[in-house]
Amino acid sequence: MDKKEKEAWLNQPKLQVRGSRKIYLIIYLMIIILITAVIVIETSDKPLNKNATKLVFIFSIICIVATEIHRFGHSYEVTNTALIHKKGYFSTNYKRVEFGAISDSEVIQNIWQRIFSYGDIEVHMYSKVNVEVVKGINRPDEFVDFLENKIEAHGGRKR
Amino acid sequence: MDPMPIPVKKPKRHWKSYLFLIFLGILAFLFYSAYNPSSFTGKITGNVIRDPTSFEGGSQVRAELKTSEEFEINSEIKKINLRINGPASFYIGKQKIDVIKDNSASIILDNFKGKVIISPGSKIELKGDSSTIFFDGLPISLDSGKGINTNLIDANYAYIKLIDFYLPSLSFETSGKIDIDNGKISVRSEGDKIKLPDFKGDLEARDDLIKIKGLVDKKDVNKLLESVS
Repeated sequence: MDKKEKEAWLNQPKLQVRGSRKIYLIIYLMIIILITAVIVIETSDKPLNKNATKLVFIFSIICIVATEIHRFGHSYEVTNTALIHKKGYFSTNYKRVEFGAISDSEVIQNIWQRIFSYGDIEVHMYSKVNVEVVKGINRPDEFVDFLENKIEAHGGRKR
Repeated sequence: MDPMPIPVKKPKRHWKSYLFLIFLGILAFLFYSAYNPSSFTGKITGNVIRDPTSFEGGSQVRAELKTSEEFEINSEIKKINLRINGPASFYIGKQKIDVIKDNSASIILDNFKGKVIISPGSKIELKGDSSTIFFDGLPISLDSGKGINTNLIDANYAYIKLIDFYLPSLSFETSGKIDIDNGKISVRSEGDKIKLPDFKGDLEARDDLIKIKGLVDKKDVNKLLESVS
């Protein structure tokens, strides 16, 4: 590989993704139902209990903050040589799977995930026992395509 | 060669179930408190919901007011003492009792739960359940101990007294004098819309004069004053 080729290879785009917010749809739905209930009671002639309203507010805030914290706790990155899974906030767990170790990958989506276009990816390794799961990301097909292209660019799979 | 380690199954987390239960709890609390506001004045929820009788240093409110506006009280009332002028029809369950013109009748309702609407011109409407009814001194109650449905439509009252009830909010346009804490604060309303938040006490109406006597939370006194000023 000459200098120009090496430079071009190093400048190849990387892909970094986090879990999709769509995995928290049920939680968002709960918040929407509670807020709608508050609005319905407020607009009707029924008295709205202040403590119940406070509970709805606290529940909504905690859920939104918790989902965002959970989401930011995981990130997946495809570099030129490996798939990296970063986990944690203050003390981080950094797992690196070299392309050479990857045997194949599998997109797993249930009906709900297919409708909303998100899902999990199981990245299998030759050792069979180890599987790296990329959880709940948007457009998993595109992620797999990108990963496969990177593996190809890196020199393809071991035979 | 070392044997392959058996993967240890992590205990399943039930946080989703807990979260869903909390969600259902809040939703139930929201609707239950909206449809049964007076239920939250009792002992069971005393720590969660403010009970005016347990206000720390609750403020006494006395008011003599005249109103030109209809107002509704939807609550549990320990006793209603009422005198109606005929003609009027009073329903006890499906039984109709007519009070003919130029006659009057005394009605006492114990442990009433329902709606009382007082309108200008000494008009009253009443709908709800009572444990015991005294109609002109004659007691009426069910052996089963269940509440008796009572209904009074578009009647004229000589006086009405609602004894010991709680309202999370009472608001109506009025003129008159309001004394707080035995005259420490005294305000005069001239056609202002007053708001009594978290009120527990008695109300008496005679002609168009309404007397209110009870407790409000000290924290809510400012709200009451703001509504008048």
